[in-house]
Amino acid sequence: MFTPPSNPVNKTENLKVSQLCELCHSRKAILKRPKNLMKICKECFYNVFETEIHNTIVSNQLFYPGEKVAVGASGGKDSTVLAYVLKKLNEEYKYGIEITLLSIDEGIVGYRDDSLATVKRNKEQYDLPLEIISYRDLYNWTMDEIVACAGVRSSCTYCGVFRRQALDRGAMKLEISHVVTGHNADDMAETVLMNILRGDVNRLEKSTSIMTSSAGSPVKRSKPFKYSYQKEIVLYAHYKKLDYFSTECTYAPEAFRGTAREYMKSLEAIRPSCIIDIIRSGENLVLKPKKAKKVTTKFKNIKKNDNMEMEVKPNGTISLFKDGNRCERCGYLSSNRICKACILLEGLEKNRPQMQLENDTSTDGKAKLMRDLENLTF
Amino acid sequence: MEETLIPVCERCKEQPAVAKTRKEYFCKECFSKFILLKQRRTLISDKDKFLETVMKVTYKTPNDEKILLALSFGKSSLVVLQNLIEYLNNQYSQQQKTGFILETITVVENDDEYKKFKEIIKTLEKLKDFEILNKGSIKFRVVNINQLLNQEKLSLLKLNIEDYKLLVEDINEAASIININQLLIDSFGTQYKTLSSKEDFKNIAIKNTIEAVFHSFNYKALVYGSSMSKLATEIVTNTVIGRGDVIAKNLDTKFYPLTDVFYSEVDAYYQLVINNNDILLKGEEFSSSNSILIQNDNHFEILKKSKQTKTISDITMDYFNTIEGDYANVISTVVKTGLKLGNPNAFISASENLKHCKICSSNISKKQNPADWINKITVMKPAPINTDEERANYDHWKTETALAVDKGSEATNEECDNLCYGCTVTLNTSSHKSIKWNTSNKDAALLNQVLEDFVL
Repeated sequence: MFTPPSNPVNKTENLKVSQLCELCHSRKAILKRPKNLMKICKECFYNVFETEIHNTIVSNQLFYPGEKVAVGASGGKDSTVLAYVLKKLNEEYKYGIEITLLSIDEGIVGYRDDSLATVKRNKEQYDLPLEIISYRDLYNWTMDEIVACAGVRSSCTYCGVFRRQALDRGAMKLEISHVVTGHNADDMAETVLMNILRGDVNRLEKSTSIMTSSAGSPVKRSKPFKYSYQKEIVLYAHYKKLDYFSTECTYAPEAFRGTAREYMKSLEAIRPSCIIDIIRSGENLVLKPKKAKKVTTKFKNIKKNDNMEMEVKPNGTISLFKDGNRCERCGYLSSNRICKACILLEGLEKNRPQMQLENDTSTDGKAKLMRDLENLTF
Repeated sequence: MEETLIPVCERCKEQPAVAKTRKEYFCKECFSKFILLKQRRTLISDKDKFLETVMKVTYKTPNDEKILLALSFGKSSLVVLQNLIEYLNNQYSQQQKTGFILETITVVENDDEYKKFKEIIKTLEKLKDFEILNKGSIKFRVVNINQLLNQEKLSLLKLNIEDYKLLVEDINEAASIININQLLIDSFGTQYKTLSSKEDFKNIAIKNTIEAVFHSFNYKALVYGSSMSKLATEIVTNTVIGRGDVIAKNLDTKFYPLTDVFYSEVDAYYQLVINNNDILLKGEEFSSSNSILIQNDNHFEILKKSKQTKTISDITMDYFNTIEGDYANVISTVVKTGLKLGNPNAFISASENLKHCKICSSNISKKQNPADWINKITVMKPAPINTDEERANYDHWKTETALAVDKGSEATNEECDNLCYGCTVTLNTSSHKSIKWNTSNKDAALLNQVLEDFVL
């Protein structure tokens, strides 16, 4: 006769000492923390996960009482857990902040519409206000149209530039000056590695900062999940049965970032703490002071309109960059005369089809096709 | 019939090409010149022209300055050795004197390696590429790391997992003979997943030995044979294991003549010019998948490591090899980025005494104290006990651990926070969170007892 196996996971009686949680020593350990290799139980996991985020918030003074905060919500695991935990901590520790969900609709049929549905459900579940800003409204382009026009290879470039601006504009519309994003420790470690591999020394020192803001910009950004492992975020969402959307964006992730991600995955297999180790290294990477360059006075070929203001740095170099500059076209913060988004839009407009067919489906992306195929039945 | 044409060297436009690197065809002579000049340029122009005085011999040059070359008898360090010997020979034939004295240090791990080292020295004497004109200008030094360990006083370093502080206990191991590999196995076990931790600490032990020799005997410079590929791997590996703070120090305080030469080029140069596998101490120490030789007759099979036995540096090297095709310049970009990094403790006030790690002796500032940092981001407080079952489990645990404590002797340990972040993490992967390590300074007297010198 068949006897069903016992359920070892939920067994609580007569546990061996080696099976017990290494923190409370009273419940069964169910996971090994990648950060310190400790075996802990579900209850302790909730406790340490939330308290660590709270500690990060407090020690970095991320919020002040009465502050309006927008959570960049995509419907994915990170932002869903962020919205949930932030609301919980706000009530528990009385931060006194007002949380709003801020979503960006990039216009990817079959992907973003589904994930936005998740955010809308989250709005009801957590009783938080939601604002959706779409690329269509802001730029008169959707990502599907952009990919159809500019190809899939550069999709992340467009999407990244536009999203950054869209989040800022959305926050400004809501009169919110603080956007929190669900960037986790894995994302941060990946960025540190990418900056080393690409030699992006300008970003290297800043790549691990928890709060970023540009002078002149009314919106600052912060990452309360800086020290939270993606694995733990997923586990938290799973154990808490949070409602999140788990499909990756259908347009290929940036290829080079993909290689760094793969590399990090293979490292994690043999050194689980490597993510936090990379962040630690990143916090200790500083640049050598620049040697002062000789500045030779220009006599020949001076353009007549060269009388614009220029910043001369202490080391003698001259930069046209001025923090707080505004784009001439859209008025958004930009280091150049015209911001990156406007330059990209200009390029796109040149390639926009002059005429469009009725019921044209050629701009529909992969995701739409996948959804249609899924719905096919005999 | 189609005939396969061998391209002509793009430098001399005469000889048939033997190698293709940096999108250019080279004949043997031009390639060899190219590699030698790359090294010379690095040596002369490196670090604010610190070595220029000894590299360019003039009538004023003092010739008693000593340079220490860390010689592992791998391909890269042998290429640097050959280059430095040729340098000395050039100086001698032109000026009848040499600008510096070259001493090499080799760290061996066992008797077999020591015997091999002696054989290699004998072989070198007969090789034309390593012929030395001014006999007194070069000396080979060797040290057996185990002998050194047996001379030293060891401490048991134990990590307190509650607060990540270090407990130091003096131990007397005089009775048993200590071996570095055994010491690492005692701490980390024999499982594959511990290979990276063992490699990390073993590299530190070797580095500590070389640096002790360097500091004790008044050398002007410490030269390493690391190629550009090896340096890039080290930079990324250090970042990955939380040792980002030592990258700048490693690059700034040592000299790397092969900074501008890829390992594939070192490998090709070795095959074309030196071409002798008898003088390699450990065989292939750094794998490279892409040979730049046009007709590669050398069918020497590189033993491919299985996925399980790979360490962090192996994975990093593999990563570079795989992306080299699609994203060129990554290796040189990483090295250039590394060279732009500075000392993270540079702005610390002079009044603050920096602590030194008991294992790797790197600097630890109060602000960046690893134990505090880890404690700040890691919560160790348990959730409350709720049910009777949980209480029973807890009581059971308490009785068992109380028994275990009674069995062991409670030694009074000195607690300190002299452990850098990288060593803390590596030590945390040890099964008992502890390792036996020498924490005292290696002075010249102690080193003299174990160092052996050979002159060709």
